[in-house]
Amino acid sequence: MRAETAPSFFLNDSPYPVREGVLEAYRELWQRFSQPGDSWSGAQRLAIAQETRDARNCDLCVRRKQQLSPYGLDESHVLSETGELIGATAVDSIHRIVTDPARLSRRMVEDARSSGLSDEQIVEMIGVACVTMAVDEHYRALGLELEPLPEPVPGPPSGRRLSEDRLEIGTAYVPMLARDGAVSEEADLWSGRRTAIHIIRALSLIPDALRDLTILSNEQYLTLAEAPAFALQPEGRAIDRLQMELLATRVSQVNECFY
Amino acid sequence: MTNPDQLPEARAAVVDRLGDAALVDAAGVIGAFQRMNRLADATGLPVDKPLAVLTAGLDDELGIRHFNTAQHSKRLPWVVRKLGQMMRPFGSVMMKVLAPKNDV
Repeated sequence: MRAETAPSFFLNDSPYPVREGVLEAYRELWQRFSQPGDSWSGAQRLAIAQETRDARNCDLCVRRKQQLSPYGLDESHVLSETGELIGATAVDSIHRIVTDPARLSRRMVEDARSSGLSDEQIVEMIGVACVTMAVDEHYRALGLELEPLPEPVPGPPSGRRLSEDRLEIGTAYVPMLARDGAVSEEADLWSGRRTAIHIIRALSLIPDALRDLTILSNEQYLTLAEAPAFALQPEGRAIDRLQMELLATRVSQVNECFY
Repeated sequence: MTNPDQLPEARAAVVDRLGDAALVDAAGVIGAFQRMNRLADATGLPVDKPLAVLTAGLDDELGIRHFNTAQHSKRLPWVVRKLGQMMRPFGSVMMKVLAPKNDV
């Protein structure tokens, strides 16, 4: 479902007092998603977001999850209108990310590459899917109706690419900006720090995808500066750092995330 | 809890004990880690080396080495694991030392 006007995120009927900073961040992200990215158009980025939502009601994903192997069923997703915009492999990857995170493996990325997706497309797709999921999960946990997705801004993707000599290849399934690579137009990416841990660098092949993540993380969790300081109590929050980490651990345990 | 039917009761319990604002912030952290877990595992991130050393052995104690996603992080050599275990009591100090150097 798409909004006919700009997305609101005002939550006038919410029974809970969601901080304005959170809603501002969500508004900004929705606006960013509607714009052409570096490797997908605005319409395609919103198709990725829609597939992230649709995956939760996917019959094939339910049956696949019951299989001993995540690749045990030789079936493909039936593509919806939005799915057609991004193709079968992207749809399959998004559904796996949403519904079966504990069994994600190198094969998902290799299949995406084999189908013709570039590393940039794969990274941007993962970024949009994960951020959409984070916003939606916040709403679901509060029992709120999901915000409609915005209308796409027409136009092709920018095609912007980082030069290969700035990338670190082989650490993860996808190339990342080198640890000391946050310079020049990307100087803001590590939030002024000299280097960054893997989870920060994971999406850095698409700098704007990392910026999306930073906007989100600053409000839902912590800023990059706050994260390593475990004794620090983040300002303006109604739960303390220990409670935040307890929640983080429990979610990670349910998702069987070793990282 | 992974059953959505239990959510209303869980929400009520949080509101009752901690208040509305705590529920909102707790839900935000849950959203953040639903995202972070998937991001780490979709891109095959290994645990960063300094953290892997400082937390060596914890994976066995927590019983998480059997997670499929542990394949992204190679098991450290025995000597390094032992060293990490010896350093663990000083882990919080080490984090403080390492954090200002921007490496963790």
